[in-house]
Amino acid sequence: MQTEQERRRLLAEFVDRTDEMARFQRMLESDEKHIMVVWGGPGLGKTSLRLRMVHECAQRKLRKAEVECGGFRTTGYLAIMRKIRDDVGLQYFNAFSDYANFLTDPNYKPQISLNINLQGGSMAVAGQAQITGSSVGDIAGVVIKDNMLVLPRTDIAVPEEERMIRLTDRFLEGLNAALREGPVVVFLDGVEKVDPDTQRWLWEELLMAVRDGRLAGVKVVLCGQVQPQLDRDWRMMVEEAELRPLSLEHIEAYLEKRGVPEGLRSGLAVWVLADTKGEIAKIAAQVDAFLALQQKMAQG
Amino acid sequence: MSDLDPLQEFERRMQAMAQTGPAASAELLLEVMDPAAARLFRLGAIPHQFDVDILQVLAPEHSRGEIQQRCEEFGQLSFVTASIDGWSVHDAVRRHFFSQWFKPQVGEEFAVASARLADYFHRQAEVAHGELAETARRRHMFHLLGADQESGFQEFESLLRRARHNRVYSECSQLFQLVHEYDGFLATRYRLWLAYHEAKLAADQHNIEQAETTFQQILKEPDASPELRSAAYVRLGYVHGDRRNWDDAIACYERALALAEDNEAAHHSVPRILHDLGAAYREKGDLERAESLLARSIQMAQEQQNLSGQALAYNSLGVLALKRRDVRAAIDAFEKSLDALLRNDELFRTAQVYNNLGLAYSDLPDWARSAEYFRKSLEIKAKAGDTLGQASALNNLARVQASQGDLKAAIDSSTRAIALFIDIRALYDAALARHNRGKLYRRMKENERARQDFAEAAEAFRSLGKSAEAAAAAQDLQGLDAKVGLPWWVWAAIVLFGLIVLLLIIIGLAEA
Repeated sequence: MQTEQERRRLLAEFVDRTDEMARFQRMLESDEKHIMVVWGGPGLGKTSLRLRMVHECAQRKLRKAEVECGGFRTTGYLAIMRKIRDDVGLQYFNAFSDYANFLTDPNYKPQISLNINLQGGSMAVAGQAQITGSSVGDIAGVVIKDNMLVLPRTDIAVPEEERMIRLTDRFLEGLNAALREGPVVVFLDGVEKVDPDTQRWLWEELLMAVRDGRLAGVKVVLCGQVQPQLDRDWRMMVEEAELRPLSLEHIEAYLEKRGVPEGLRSGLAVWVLADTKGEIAKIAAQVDAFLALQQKMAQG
Repeated sequence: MSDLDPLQEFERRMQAMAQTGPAASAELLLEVMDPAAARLFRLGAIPHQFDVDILQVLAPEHSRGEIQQRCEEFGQLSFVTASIDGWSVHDAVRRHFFSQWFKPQVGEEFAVASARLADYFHRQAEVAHGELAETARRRHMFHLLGADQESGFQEFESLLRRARHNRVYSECSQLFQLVHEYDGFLATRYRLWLAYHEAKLAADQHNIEQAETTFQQILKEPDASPELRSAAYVRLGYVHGDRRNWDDAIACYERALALAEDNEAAHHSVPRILHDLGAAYREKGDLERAESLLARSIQMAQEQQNLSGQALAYNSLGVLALKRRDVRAAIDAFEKSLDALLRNDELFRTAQVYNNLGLAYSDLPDWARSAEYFRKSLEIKAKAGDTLGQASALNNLARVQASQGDLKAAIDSSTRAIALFIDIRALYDAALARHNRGKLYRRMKENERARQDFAEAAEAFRSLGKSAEAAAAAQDLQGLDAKVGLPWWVWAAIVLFGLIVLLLIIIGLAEA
């Protein structure tokens, strides 16, 4: 999540990727495909492209959710759902937040009658619920705040598989409620960094729901370093875009945007292309170094 | 102003920097930068993200204003990204600068900087809440590793144990990724234990081949300690056990046992290894050997006052007795297991033992006691919130109720089981339960309901690709439709005719 200043700078310096952008725009406009996978090695400009796509969503007034995987923050399926919920709007996801709280906080009193087969094998936790008789997600005007705890509480032992199924069902229900007010575009960056179980959840639960039409109005963009292995059924539904290194022409355009003097541009572009093989992150770093050196030399 | 051509000078310097690898341009940039700023940038590459507070912790000699200004300058670099956590250096560039800190000549400075960061995040973890606290704990562990490998690795193992126990595998995976950033810096013993923990996780996630390869690699390492070797043999035994390859599993457990018995640090694991070995012999069919090993496991667990170990071994002993059809001995062992669990406050684990007691009493058969224990198992699983467990217990209960002749109760239990299986998307189990309920309806002569269950079960099996089960359900359906009985008055006539014949025979015999 960039600062506004950085966003403006990166957008101003954006070069090439017209084909990928055209495919993204086509996906937004048609009902043919709902998932786009952008993949390429490190430093090929996935982040810049994603930023451009996010900008496109803003221009079209489309709601979007951005999830960055990896780093220090928790990146399991629960964290991904929480981030999407926070970006789309907490108010649609009461049942999900309620159940997430219930699973992680022993002192939490469920606000919604939960269908979780606990305490006596009944189909609802009426004994623990403050509001009974309400169905999932129907507490008008109340927004349930997530306490954001991560580890399951120890005074119950709901199996992991069950936790995942129930949280996902409630999340999808919430997302569907949000979709009634217009489409949502979900960006997932760094998908190769998530663990195998979360990968499975991503494809078999979230993306499967998009593919099967259970989440009508959602478009998903996955950015990663690795090309996902898709079978024929999936390939029919997914727009794949492999990022390629920048060409000499695009490097020159980039140098111009970065303010490299015209007389030095083509020479520097040839050097940079040879040294970086067109990887945008390396090109950008070299231009940083060149401009700093030039400035220092100018200062004597 | 210099007369040099900036392009030529740039190329010359870049060529000179080429040996520094993929981050040559970043190194050149730092070379051109003010030395104090360059040092601050190198320090800022130790954490994954930096902000004014973190840089202040790392370089307390700088003023806050100065650091603020530097942060803004760094934010202008193409490989520095602003995020909600502050600024972060692009992965490849940060990896380069982070690895530079592993050089012996800067080792002391790195340890001091890491210790400062570890303290900083430890304080944050203590006051933060929820996910923020978890993030701070991970960051504390990460920097503690840089400051003091022994403490850092202990902290890593503690976080990993907690995450693995809760089956939060994404957390485990993340912890591994963090520790791997110290590859090349981590002492051999920690590197090997790290590989061991990763293989354990791979096995948890059913990636058995990968787990097996890693355990075998660890065992080939001359630097692996006896404790680690013993643990790796146990895990390799589990891999063979998973494949029901009992001879290989036994060989592994025996090696593990020999190492653990000879090594003080691994001595605590002896009861568990004896149990695993006993269970493997039991599965292989050598019940005498299995019994003797399980008895030793119980004895050692008692000596160590290890109630959890006692419960495990008694439960296995009960399973062994059931194999021998010695139901009384099985019940005795299960009751001892239960007692140990209750004394150890392990309520949720009792559900399995109650279930085993239910099975044992159904072998007697004592249907009333069997049903009572299945109900207790159901009650515990309900307290735990384990829907699948409740559904399985209800299935067992339905079988007992049917054996007692209480078909109505059996159908009720079965119906509840089906609803729970569907609720948790266990569609195969739901189809099995539906097929069984169909049989109960058939016994009650409720053919319409039986027909519906058989048909739905067959359809569910077909959609799950389970052709054998689908065929069995379809066959029951056909059998039900094929049963066209004679009218009642025909049966009455046949019986009457038989009685008359019998009477005539008796009269004939009496006259003779």
